[in-house]
Amino acid sequence: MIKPLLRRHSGISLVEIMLAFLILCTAAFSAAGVISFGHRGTNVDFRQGEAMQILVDRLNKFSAMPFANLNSFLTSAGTNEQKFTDSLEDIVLGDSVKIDKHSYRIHATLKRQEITFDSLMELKFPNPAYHPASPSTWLFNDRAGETFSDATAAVIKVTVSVKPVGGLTDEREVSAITFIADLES
Amino acid sequence: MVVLSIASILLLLGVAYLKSFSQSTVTGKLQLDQIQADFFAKGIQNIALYKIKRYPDFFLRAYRYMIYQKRLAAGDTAVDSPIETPTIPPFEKFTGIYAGHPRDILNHLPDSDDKQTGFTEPLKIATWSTQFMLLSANDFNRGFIEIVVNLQLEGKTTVGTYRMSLDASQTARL
Repeated sequence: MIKPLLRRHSGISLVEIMLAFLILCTAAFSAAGVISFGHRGTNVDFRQGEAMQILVDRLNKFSAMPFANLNSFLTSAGTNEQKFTDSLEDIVLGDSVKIDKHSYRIHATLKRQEITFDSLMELKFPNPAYHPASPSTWLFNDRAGETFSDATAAVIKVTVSVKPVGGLTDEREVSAITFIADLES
Repeated sequence: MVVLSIASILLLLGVAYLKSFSQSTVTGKLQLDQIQADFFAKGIQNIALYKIKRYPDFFLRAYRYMIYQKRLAAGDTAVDSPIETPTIPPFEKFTGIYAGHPRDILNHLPDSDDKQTGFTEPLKIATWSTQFMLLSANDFNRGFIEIVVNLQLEGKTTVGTYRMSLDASQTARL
């Protein structure tokens, strides 16, 4: 009498199998989603790292360029500030510059930066006691400050911005600035 | 039970993975700050160098006068008293760091001036300053100009120091 009753309760029912399969599927899909999200994140990080390397490279190239060349780009453009989206000499710029598998938007802005040196001094003359080798005899006078801008600009501000493009997400743009002074003339 | 265990392990692995790459984004921001500070400081050094090149006489005389004043203050009997003492030492005038002079391109600009000229844009720089030094190696007839830029980014407590050194032959003793 007992045997048939036990047989009825032993084993796994179809409902239990389906439920277990449903839980497994949910967990597997969630895990796949997390891994895919992580992979995307790693990819974004890689592109950000590469964007920073490009940023350093372009700024170094601009820093190595003579002031006169940089100034001539602005003279050709007929302005004191210009965003360049195409390559300048051997500095590769563009809206979609391909480097290995990834693409980047690399732009550079050149600007004749106004600078002022306003606390200048000079020796006061006539000074009968003046002796070049003896500072105790020197007399100093304030003199007018000097501003360098537009046509007389002596400093060019270089702004480089790099943004990974063509990815699945809108990625962060990285930018940095430096100043190139006229040390040649 | 088995299914739940596997699901839990997968979840834990996923969380650990997410945590690992979320940390690397912070590192990326720090790297960018470093790059921005490096190139800005390099630019300030270029402007400082331009100032020396533009006013070499003022730089050398002001520096030499500062050394003379230090010797005088130290009680050096070999130096004479000045025939007239400037109100503001000439070297402080050259560096631009003296009381009552809040605006100097090499030593921080007020926000209004910065916005108007777009000098630091798009960076967020809290403050910066520039020091000049002239060092002599008399035995070798060499002189060294040192330009030191101190820089602090907005929201950071660390002050970065960037040193540039140039050497040249020396024709007179300071």
